[in-house]
Amino acid sequence: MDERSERTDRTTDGGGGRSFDRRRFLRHAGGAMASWPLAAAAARAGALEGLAGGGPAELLNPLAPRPPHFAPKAKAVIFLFMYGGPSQVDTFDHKPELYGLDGKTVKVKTRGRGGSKDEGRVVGPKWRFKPYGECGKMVSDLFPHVGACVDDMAFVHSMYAESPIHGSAMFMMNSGHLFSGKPCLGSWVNYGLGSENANLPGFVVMLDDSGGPISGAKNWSSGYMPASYQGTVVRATGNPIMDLDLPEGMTRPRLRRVLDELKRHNDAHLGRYDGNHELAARIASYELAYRMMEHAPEALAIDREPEATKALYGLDEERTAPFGRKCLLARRLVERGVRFVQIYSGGNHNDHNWDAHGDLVINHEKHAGNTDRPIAGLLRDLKRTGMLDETLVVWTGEFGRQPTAEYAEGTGRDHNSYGFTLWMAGGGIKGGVSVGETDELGSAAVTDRCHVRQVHATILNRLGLDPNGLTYRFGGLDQKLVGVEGADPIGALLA
Amino acid sequence: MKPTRAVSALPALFLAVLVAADDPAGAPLSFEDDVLPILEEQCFRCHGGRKRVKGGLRLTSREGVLAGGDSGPAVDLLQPETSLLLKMIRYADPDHQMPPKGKLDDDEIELLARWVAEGIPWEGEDDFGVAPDDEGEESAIEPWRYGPVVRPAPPAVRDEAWVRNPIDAFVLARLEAASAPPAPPADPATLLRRVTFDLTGLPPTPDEVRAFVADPSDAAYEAAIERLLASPRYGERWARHWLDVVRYAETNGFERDTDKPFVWRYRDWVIDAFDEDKPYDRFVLEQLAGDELDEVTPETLVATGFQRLMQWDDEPGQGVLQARYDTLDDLVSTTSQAFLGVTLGCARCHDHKKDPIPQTDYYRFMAFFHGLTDLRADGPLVEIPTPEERAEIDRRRAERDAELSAWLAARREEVEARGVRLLRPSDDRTTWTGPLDVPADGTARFGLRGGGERARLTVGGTSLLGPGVARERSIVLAAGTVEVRLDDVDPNAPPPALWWRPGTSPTWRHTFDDPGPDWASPSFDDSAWSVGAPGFGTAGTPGSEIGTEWSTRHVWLRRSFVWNAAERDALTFVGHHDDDLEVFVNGVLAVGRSGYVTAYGELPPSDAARAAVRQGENLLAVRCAQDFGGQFVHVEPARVDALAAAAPTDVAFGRRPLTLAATIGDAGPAREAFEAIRRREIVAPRALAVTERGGRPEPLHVHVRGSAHALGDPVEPAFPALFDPPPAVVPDPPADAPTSGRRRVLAEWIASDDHPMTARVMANRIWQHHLGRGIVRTPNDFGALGEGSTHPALLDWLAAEFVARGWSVKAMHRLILTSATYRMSSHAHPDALAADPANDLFSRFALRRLSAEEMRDTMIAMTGRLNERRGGPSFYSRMPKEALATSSRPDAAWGTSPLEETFRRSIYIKVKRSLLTPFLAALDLADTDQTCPERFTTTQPTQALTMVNGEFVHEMATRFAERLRGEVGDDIDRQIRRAVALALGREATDGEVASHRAFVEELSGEDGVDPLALFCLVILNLNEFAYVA
Repeated sequence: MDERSERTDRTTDGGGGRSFDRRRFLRHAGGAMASWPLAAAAARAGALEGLAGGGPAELLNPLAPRPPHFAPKAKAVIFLFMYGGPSQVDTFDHKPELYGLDGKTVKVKTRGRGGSKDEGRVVGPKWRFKPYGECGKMVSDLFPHVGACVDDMAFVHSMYAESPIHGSAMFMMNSGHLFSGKPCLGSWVNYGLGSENANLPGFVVMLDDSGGPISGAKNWSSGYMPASYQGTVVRATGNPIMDLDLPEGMTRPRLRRVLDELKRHNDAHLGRYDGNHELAARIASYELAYRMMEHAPEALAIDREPEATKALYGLDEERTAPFGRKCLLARRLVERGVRFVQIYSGGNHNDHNWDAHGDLVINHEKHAGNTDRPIAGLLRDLKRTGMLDETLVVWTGEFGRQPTAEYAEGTGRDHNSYGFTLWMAGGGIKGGVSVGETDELGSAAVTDRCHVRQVHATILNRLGLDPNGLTYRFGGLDQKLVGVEGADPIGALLA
Repeated sequence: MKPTRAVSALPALFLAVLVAADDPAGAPLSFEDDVLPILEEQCFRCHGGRKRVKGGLRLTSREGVLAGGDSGPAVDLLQPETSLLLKMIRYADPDHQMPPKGKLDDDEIELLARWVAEGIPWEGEDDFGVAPDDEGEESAIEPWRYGPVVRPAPPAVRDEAWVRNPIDAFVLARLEAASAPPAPPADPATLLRRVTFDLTGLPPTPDEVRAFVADPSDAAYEAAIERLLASPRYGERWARHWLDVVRYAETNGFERDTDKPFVWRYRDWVIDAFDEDKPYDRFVLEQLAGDELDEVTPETLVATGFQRLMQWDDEPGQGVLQARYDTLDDLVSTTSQAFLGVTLGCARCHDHKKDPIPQTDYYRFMAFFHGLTDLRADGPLVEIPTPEERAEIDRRRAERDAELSAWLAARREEVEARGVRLLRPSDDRTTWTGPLDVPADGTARFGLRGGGERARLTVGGTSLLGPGVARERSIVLAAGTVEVRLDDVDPNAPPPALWWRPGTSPTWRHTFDDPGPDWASPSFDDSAWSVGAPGFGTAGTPGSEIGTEWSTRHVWLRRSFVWNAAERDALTFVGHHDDDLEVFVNGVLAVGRSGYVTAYGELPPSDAARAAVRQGENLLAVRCAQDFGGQFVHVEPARVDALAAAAPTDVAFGRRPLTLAATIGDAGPAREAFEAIRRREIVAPRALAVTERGGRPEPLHVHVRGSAHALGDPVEPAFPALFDPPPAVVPDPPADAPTSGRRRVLAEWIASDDHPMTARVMANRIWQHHLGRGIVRTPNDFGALGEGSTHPALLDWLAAEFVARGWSVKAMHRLILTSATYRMSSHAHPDALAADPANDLFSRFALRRLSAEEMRDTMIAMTGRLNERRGGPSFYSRMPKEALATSSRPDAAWGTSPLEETFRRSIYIKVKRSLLTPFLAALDLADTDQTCPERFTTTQPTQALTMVNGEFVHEMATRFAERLRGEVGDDIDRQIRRAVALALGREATDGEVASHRAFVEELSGEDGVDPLALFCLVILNLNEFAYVA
């Protein structure tokens, strides 16, 4: 048992658990005398500056910052979701024996969309691996730029999960359950810690230009928690947040006059209701919205970054620019206090994402090529600005891929939840380490196997939250992200 | 239960034994040196070494090992080799592998196996662990706090004049005790706006306000209540509360998020039920057992749609069996919370932690639903015609069938005539020959009648039929022309009649014995199955052509077919089934049909199945289940375009009555002409309802740890013991019963007058939606984890009254709305603010923000364009493109409806689980995946963005301004007064008018701006507009 999980336990036993629930929320939100959320914290982020004197002393802000259970290692998470499922043996899980087996039929248990099989034709890895960094980590030629960062990265090669089907596997990776209706990781983080910046959403999602992942908004839903904790979709081009842009015919000064007029009448109305906090909060929400309109464009103004930084993220190249913009934007958001940013690589269906059922080479060249420079740029930029210490970067798909071919011909690989690779970097994660192994084919996790829930536990732990103590009461249960039975962080990753 | 996997684990097992035999040391096993280190390192962490114990299993003491956990004892001392512990550490079953982190080394496994074989000797501490965490909790389970409802007498109060009805006595007694004076009565305009929103979700008209302010008498108030209760808008408001509880949605969720057909009928049924004031006990009965009542009507069938509202995964990641129980769990969980206010779902995997609900009770409750035909999205649709419609449909179907028969008879003659011409007799009429065009490669089938006993058939040089050979036989033919020849025909016998069916039908592997799971998977080994030609069935089944006799209950079929993966979308199936049919492509469900057909028809595959098509060889697997009567199955792949365009085939000759397929072919003009008649759609209205497969459901067992693969004891239906219920007596169903009758037994118990929960739970919901919160604050959970009741006596009195008033919901509205409690102002008495700061005692009316639907509907009402059309299929709201971009199929995710449709009430907006209307979602729409007993009211900047920048609100503001100009012309003061009267339900003050006018005038003259529209935008954003006071 390692030292950190001991500490986690003590925290739980010491009553440091966080429990807040639907009915408490409702009572506060609905009652006339709500008293829990705090204006002080909101004021810290500048939320209340500019509110007229006599404004509400307290705000109904479920995203007000809340103290962690114990000293955190990371303040924010950037979660790079390789939707569709990248192949581990072609990226980071080096299996030298597999090359020689190409074309041979071997006994191996697999389960994917094509059902369960007991044998299959090996598709040898299509890329060479070579060692990188001081740790000498073997990385495939798909990720030369990311490879250069391995001394800051920790790999988990022994990931496994229940479902090899996109829909339910996405829900598992995002919310720890196979069904939708549960809050997502980003919701739990914001529920546990609140947001440091009231002018920006606390949980941001950026999608691929080809569309969302299957099940769309269910993947960033707050489930049974209030909508305050759901993800907000932010676009790196065009209108960044829905309804943030002024409608046609509206100007900023004109909107200001509308809001001033609205506030004048609302304040008079509030006076007749003894300063009711819910009414006051709604008045404040318009001011917060206006501030978001002022501040968000600044936060989103990637173009103000120096050319060298833009180049670092691959903005100078057509194929890397879209994902690069999102990575750069993620850094800017995290810099400004956003807790949780999730970026999807790939969207829609088939080869629009990492779901390489057809031609493995075409598919993975495309998606790795689009993301290698941006991801490396993000890691390097975070590191040189010192932000990497407090920012946890996670890279994973909803599952991996099989070492064998899906069809009689070709290189396509089917889904694989028996084994896949995930990596993390920064935010209290050891650099240059690798945890766990798959079998010699790279098919199934065999040593130090790690379930998705342990990844969730690790992320919460690094943020200073006890995964087994962070609960939310719903449907007669103290619900947890890590499930009824709980889960512990992956000790070997913790710095 | 995966035999293939269990078998594959055997080698490892033998290996272990061999190693043991070869162990040269043969040294005695030491617990402390050999076993304990493994246990300490690998097991104790989760199983006894810490307070949190997983799976209920503690391995830190010998007793713990023998007692075992949720899955049973870890070690069986009598049969050590079968011990669960050994199965788990050997990874024999993929669902139960320990330790999860990774398999132990072989020598470690061997040490533990020896330890088990030696009877688990134990040394050192009795228990190396720590006391578990939850034992204290378990002993702390409170007894259930709800006994039968006994009507309490209203308490005495000091200020009797304040009491209008007994509700007030209960409320006032508590207020007086706390020295919290009740708020004064609300002013008439406020009260009318409040009651109008509460009952209809829409504001009162200025005329209604004016009239009530002029005469705010009790009689006028009561008349207003009656008017509102009679309004068709009432059901549309109150149905929404119930739809939240039953997590109403119109799609299935998950990857494809496909539609639930006709589910809107259920939504309309709920609306109508409230409008008609359907007694609540009846409301319960119809939803749970509308198909099992003495008098089943279309409406009661529609009501059972309640049981089909859950999410459904067409491609379940944990397999079909587990998925079936996931849907049943969703149903049990929702039913128990919606009707009984108890969270039974918490007992699926373990005994309930807080309420006295053992896991067995959960499965006993599930047993009431266990007969249900799978609650799949493509499950049964039930016809729901009225008797008149039924008669009309029968008449038109008979007409069509007659026409079809006549057409077929004519066509048969034509085909037969042509067929006869094909074979030419020799002069002595002993030999008949002719060419035959074979349209495609495949197994063709020939049959011969007449011609005498010695007649022989040769096809393409192959002797096929003759003396001593069957009279029907198949042969594989290549496309092209073959010579057909009949020899040794007896000229004096009845003339030979030869028929054939061209084939694209290779043979099938088939079995009549249940092959177990994975049989449809491409990797399944079917080499032991028999081989036979299609179709399979018994002679005499309408429209059938028997290739292989099948007369058992089930048949399983497999064969491969070749397809070009690039053309996977062109794949379809043609077939015939009698009765239930399932078709799989590479293990993915392609077609699922219930019941039987009498002719071949197209069976289009699911998208999932098309997606599963691979280049080259594909595995086709078919299962058919016999019900009664005829039985037959034959399914073949076909190209979509071939059905429409291929050339006709000369399909038959001879005199035998031709099969349908032989008569019209698979394609071509004849098929089209036939289909034109056959497909003349004469369908009865249908509904998403439930059915059962006969009266005797399969046995249900407790699922250990909630896994459908780990069966515990069998259970029979019974009511949860915590309610101290009567025994559940399910009458023995007659042999031909369509259902088990179990749900009716459950429904009648829930809907009985003396049920301890039903009236309490619903009375609490009605109160909740008038007074802002339930008397029990957690309306779905009255148990120990719920928040309990602030006014238990009042709730009991309301529950008793509800039953006494014939379960009339409208009677409860009248009762609550005419109380002084409801009519209080939302301005608290100053003393009450101090004494009752959180309004726990109902010392004032709690302000409430309009719900998402009220907000949208009211904005549309402001424009004068609200479309009051009721019911029917849902419409598509305008979906911003930013929202569409979040869908994985941005182009196909949503539809468009005509503008006037988009002005209908929000309850009629299409509810697509993965794509909710953003305006509604921003305002705290109910989550669609789980039962939602009460809406949140969140306040956040993104809402304000939607309210000031969003396209919808701007459009409404602009149309509102148009309406004002249309109604009162260009006079600014009159525009303002009209706007305030419409939007705020009161007359504007002069000061207010002047203030608004200054705003409008200041903006006038600026370019590109309509000052009146901006004024309307302000009005639509006012707190006074957004809140009911």
